[in-house]
Amino acid sequence: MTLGEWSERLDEHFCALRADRPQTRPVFALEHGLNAGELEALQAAVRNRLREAEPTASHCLPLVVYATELGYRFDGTEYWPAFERETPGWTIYGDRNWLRRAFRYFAERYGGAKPEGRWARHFGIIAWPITHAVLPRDLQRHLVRALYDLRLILRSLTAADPEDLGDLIGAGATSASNRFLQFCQQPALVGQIALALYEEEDRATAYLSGPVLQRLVASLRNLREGALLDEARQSGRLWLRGLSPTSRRGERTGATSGDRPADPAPRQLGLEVDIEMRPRQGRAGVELWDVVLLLPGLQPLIAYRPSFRQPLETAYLNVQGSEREFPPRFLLYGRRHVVLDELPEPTRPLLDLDTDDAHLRHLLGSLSLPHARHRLFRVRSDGAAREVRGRVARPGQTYILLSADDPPDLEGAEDLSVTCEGVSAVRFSIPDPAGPQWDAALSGVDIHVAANLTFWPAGPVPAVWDGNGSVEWVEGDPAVVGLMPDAPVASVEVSLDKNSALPVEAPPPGEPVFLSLGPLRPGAHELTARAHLMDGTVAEGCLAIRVRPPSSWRPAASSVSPLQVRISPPAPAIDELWAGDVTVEVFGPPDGKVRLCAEFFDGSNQPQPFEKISYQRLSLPLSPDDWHAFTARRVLPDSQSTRAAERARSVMLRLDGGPLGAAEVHVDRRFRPLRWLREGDHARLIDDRDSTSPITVSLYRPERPAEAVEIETATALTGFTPQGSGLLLADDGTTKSVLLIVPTRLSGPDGLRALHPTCDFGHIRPVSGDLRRLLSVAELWASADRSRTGTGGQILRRRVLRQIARALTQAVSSPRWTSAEDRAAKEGSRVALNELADLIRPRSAGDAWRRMLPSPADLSREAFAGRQQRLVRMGRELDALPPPRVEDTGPGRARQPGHPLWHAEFALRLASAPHTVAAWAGDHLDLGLQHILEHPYFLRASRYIVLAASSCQQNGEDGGHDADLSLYPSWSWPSLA
Amino acid sequence: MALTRLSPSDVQRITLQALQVDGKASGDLASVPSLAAALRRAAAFMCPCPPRSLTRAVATGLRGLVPPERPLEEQIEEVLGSLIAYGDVLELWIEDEPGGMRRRLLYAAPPAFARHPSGVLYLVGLAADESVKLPEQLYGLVEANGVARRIKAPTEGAVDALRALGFVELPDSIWLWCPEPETASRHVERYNRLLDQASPVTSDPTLEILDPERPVRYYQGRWTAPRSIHTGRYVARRPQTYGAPLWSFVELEAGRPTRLIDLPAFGKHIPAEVRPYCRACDQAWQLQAAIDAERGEAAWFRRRSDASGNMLIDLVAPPPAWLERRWTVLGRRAPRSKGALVSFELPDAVADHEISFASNRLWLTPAPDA
Repeated sequence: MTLGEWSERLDEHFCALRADRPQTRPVFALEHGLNAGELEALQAAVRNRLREAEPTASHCLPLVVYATELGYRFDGTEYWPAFERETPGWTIYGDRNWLRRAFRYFAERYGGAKPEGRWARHFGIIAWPITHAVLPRDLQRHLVRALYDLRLILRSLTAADPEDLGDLIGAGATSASNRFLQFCQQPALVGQIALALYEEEDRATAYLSGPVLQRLVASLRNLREGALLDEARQSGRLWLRGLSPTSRRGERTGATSGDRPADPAPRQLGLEVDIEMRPRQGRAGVELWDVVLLLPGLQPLIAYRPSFRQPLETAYLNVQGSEREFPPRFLLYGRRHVVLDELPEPTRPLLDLDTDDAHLRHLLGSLSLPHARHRLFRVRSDGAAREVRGRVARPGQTYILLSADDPPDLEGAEDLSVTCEGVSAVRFSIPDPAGPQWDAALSGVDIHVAANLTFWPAGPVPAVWDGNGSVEWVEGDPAVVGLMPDAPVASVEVSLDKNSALPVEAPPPGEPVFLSLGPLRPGAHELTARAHLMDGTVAEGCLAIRVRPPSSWRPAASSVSPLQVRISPPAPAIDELWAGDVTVEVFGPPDGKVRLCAEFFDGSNQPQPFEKISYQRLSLPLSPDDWHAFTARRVLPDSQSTRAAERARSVMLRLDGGPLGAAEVHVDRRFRPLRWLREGDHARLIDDRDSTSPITVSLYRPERPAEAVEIETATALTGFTPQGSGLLLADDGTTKSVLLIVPTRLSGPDGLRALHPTCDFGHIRPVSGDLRRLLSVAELWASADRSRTGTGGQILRRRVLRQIARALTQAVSSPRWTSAEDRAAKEGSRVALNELADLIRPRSAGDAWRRMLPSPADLSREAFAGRQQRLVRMGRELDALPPPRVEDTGPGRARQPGHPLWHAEFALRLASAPHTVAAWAGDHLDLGLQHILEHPYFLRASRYIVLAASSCQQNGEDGGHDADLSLYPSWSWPSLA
Repeated sequence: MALTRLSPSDVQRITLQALQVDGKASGDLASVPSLAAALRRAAAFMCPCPPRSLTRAVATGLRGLVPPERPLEEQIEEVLGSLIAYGDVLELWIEDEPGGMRRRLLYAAPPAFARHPSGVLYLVGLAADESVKLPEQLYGLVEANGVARRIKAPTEGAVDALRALGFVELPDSIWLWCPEPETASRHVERYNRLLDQASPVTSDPTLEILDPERPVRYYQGRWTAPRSIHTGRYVARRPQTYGAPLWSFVELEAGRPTRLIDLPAFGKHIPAEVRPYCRACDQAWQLQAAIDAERGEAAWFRRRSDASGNMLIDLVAPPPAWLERRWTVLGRRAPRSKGALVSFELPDAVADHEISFASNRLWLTPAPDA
């Protein structure tokens, strides 16, 4: 068949498909309806044509199908190189823009899918074949897992609207790959695929044609996750059957998609803050009481607005009343406990997320702890005490009254030591029966003593029960309560949510009555009971109810498990991992251990890794600093790991704590439209861009790191072998790609010189412009993809960056400083360091600051924060920083530009990691540079701290220069991500 | 939303249905599998917490539903002990802050499975909100055996399904780890060395000691407050303000502590991977067994057959978790017989070997009346 004939056949097929499909549902090119043999014939026809000539307008349908089939095999890393490999002649006769026009034509003529979302906007051409491939293979396992998790909360959707369903899938995909998260930026498409999988066979064609669905299901079943597919589909099918015919067609009753209701109150989303008091033993055996906030997991907010995911995953959180700052994702998995240093003020938001998302801040702002001067806590049998929201105390129980004012006089009350400032607490027990004096004493603080009617959640344990009058159930749990009067009762009336009361036959005293509350919707409810006692009095009881949707479980993420792992960024890339920009934090019992294992895959869909490396066991808890120190020493310089990373398309990091649990982190290679490929000493530029703008290619030699030598773009695209070491930069004005190359065989003095060159940066004047220029050179050399540079490249990169750090201090110092610094860096001896210290500031300027000078051993033991504090103290003595001020204290202040700690971090970064300075300082780079130029001794002091702290590491048994690939040992700055 | 009055039997039925003990909503709410399921559910919501929080929560839910044949909380406590021994719940140290106050609390072990050489899959651990529900097909195959949940004849793909859900595979070497056999004197000596190195006690903690002078056949009766007659080295425990009781090995002089080490104490003989399974009480019980054996008062076991011909083993001292887990896999915990603290039912074919296994590690002797 000729291409023209194929075109006619496909046109007829897609027209018929369009006619059958509801107008609102798009058609996909993958729904071409060709069997394997026909597809092969079509592909051969396309290749034959392109080998000899350009395609014409009448060939666009076969080309669209051809490109889509390649999109189905896309593994997230390369599209055009595979296209060119499989289509000889494409580079001569093909045109990427022509192909985009062909897809647009398809979309217009047949109502075809149109790519959406940030990724699609950024990669405007390849987004078309990938979107039309419906579900490329690398996304399949993530979709199965997402659909399986979704079955718990599907019923929260009241209509089969693809966009809403897609939003919900995206919200739940917390541990999926970066590519899947990008895929979820097209919620309507994701929802349409899910509905096709859920629907009965005859109805599924409204979303996807039968052959595509069968192809997809067969492929999904072959995955390890395939075992979960049937269950996920079954739940979806049940959910669809429960919808009305109009809702099943995706039509919402009431509001339309463009007319969403106003924001719900946090309680309606199942979000509420609780407060608890917990005892512990102080140093001298004294009983101390912590006031603990129980914060809800904020996952429902992502389900409500998927766009909230990004700020919740990246922004730091301040909790009013706590001096700590909490890392991103702190509240993403279940409930968290925060010990309060002081009680939150009602006028300020309880949670302050460091984000510009005003909508999210507003919603979080409405999550608060109800204000009260006096709070009542019931002491539970385990020793802790939970707040009694209903402010009703019962005889026979022990309570704690936490007061911001003077507490009332209570019989037998005992003062408690509370760690939270500005409050006092007393513990007291109410006798049974309680005399009227108890109600009188407590009513002054709005607390009442009730008797005679007790509620409790009967049957399965609820998610939360405060033991007094507040319960939380997970949606779908049987909501059953027990009710028991402790005095003879004539009659009882019970009412749910203030609806008409149910009269209940009076039970004898001490006999319970059980009530089912029926299926409760997520949100807040209230159960009230009124008992008419035989003595003519009335007893009342009230149960505050909260129902929340179930939350999905993620390994090592839940607060009930002993092992909790946090990763930042949540879906990291291999180059970020190898650049030390991925932070892992592991919480666990203090005598626990986890083993790190990395599995390297050369294709996203390969079931078996081509390399599996097991590293040593790590002690718990593992802080971000421990992680950076470990990877810098044991993973990144390891030649086996580096070789595997160079080849890998994806890496699975596994942290295995045995019985404590395990976490898996999927690390993939990001799609880079312009990138270098290195094969031995050979380098080739891959152009996977959608644009045709010209590319400039430059080579920087390590001897002159700031000086570019131009390379022909065509040479770079064909591939070439640069003689010696250097940095290759390809730049088209919007996209850059940097590769560090070091000859694979280095030996003898020449080899050593290649890795340890002496860099010439030209004359650097002590002016802001020259320092900025040098920082740009540092950024350039640091930006090389470290997962592809090999060990030699890592050493070279470090050497050049170290020389930049040296040159920066040199620019603001005398030649004597430079020689003394070289001696100190080389010898690391106390004498050499002392000599360097003498040159920080002339003796004539006084020597009070000298007393603050730390010893190298002290410095090497200190964490960043300690070193930063030291530099601030030295800076003050050196008159480079103002004395302490009240306005400099408070959470988050230290990160504000101009703060003494900010200047200290600026100077320490300049002296230890100059490539991070510009990105870290942002718009305030000049502020920092100007400060350094005005107080050059501040930079010298910080350079001294860097060299002195790392001198111990260099000389110690833990590491020679090459064992640690951070710029200076023990100076791995956390990621700026 | 409709309020409906329910009878206690309705609530029992609803509760059993919600707990889905073994894929079926049947049985007795006070049975070991039901209480274990209720405790697993409570742990999935409430951990980390002290043991008492879990037992109280389950007892509250069952108030008025279970006939009070035996104190309910006592039964629940016993089942919780077995759950910890089985590995569904872990008792671990927690630090309020790095280097700060330590306490022992219960955590929900993450979902895991262990493959027994016989081909049986054992399910261990739990997840918050009980959200890691198995696919229906697999769930139907789960069978409760005491606190254990097992799949006797797993279908093809069962392991893949578990892995896909995030279940971790626990190798036998970890899950069924047990200490190497050694002599009682060597065992006591190891702890003596640790205690020799401990700093002198400066405070006066409220202790309870296991008095070796008291008869070994009545475990509860051996606990006593230290008095002036107590001089020597003892297994002890002390309450914690918020957490599980702390176990220790203590040196007393006329009833006053002079040196103390907290248990569990890990030496090289306990691999790092299995330490989460080592409860403080397991070490204490094994140490007490060694002390008793050294004194010539070794704890005893009794082997007997029940009416149906099953082989039963009675113990008078509490079994450490590693033994309970092993015997839960090979057999099951049986209702305790008269005079025993715990009883296990084991297949006849393995009984001899298992008695020798336990005797080599706990220095047991046959019951005087055997």
